[in-house]
Amino acid sequence: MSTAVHRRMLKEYLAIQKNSATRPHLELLEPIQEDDLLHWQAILLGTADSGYEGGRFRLDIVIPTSYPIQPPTIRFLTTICHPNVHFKTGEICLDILKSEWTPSWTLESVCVAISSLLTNPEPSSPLNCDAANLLRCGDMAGYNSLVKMYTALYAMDEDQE
Amino acid sequence: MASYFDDHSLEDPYKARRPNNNNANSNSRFNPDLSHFMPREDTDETAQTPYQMGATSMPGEGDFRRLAQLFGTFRQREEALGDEEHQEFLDNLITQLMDEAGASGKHGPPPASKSFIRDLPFVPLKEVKRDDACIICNENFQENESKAGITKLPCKHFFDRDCIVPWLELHNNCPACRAEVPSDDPVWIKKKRDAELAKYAAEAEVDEDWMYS
Repeated sequence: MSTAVHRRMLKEYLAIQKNSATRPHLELLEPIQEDDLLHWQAILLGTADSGYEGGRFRLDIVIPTSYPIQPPTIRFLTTICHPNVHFKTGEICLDILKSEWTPSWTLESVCVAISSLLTNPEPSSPLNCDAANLLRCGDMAGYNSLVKMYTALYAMDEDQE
Repeated sequence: MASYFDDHSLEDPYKARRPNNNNANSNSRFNPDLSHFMPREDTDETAQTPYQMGATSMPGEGDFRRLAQLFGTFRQREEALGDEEHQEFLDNLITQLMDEAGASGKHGPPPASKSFIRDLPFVPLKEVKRDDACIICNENFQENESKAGITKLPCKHFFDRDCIVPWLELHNNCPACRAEVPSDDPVWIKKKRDAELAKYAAEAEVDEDWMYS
């Protein structure tokens, strides 16, 4: 089983290196250490015209040995204000990481999905109730300024290398 | 289950005052909720299910499991008292909670039926195109002959047998297009039946309208 997962991860790694130009919002997606293909990191860039603009959001990605039958475990390391992300643990509520997972997803497509979750929140299944309630009340000004504030607080300085 | 402080990700200022051991008779000043009786951390669960649940978010796998453990303790007490009716009631409750724990979280559709997996067709190598790869292992079929062979689902998607069987043992759909295949799961069978009945009922209604219009 574990050799199968390593072969697939190696294939994904090569494909990611080849496609790097086609993902504007994914600054980085690579194994943390070259010899461990089961532990990855990614950096998402906040899209322009959103409260996340200018922010760099670090993701921690753990691949189970049963991948791709089981989904990867992904969480935000950078604190982020989003209705579907837990403010403290960084846990992400996204159906494709849970019940809707299928082996046809790749790490790259999952990261793109998380990136589009940032601008398309789903307030009906929140992990961050305060952010979700603002959205549900239709208080876009309040929501956007809250997002902007937390992006400036946590996602702009901390990740500078 | 979650308190105001949990919702807002704050430290509970009253937490320090809460008794740690079974202090049932003390007239403490707070109203204990369910979470008070449950262990706050569950070593193998916390990675996926944080215990701080939002007021409107779904209870996680760990919550059901912890609740089941709690009732398990009650059950042991009933056993000592010899009350069989109570024991049976708690048994059912625990079983139901453990089922819920299994059904939520990462678990998606139910497993494919055993007969479906057994009867998966063998596909000769010449039937797949040269560039086709199994989407589960990303390996080209032509370069990958040594395995248990190739098969296809009713939706005409090809897979290595070795790759698709572990998936079908967990979920009854196609990894490529999510087309459903049969399942032995009683809940799935009932849902399927109900949907069919509803379809017939809707068709019958249309027919009637046509007759009298």
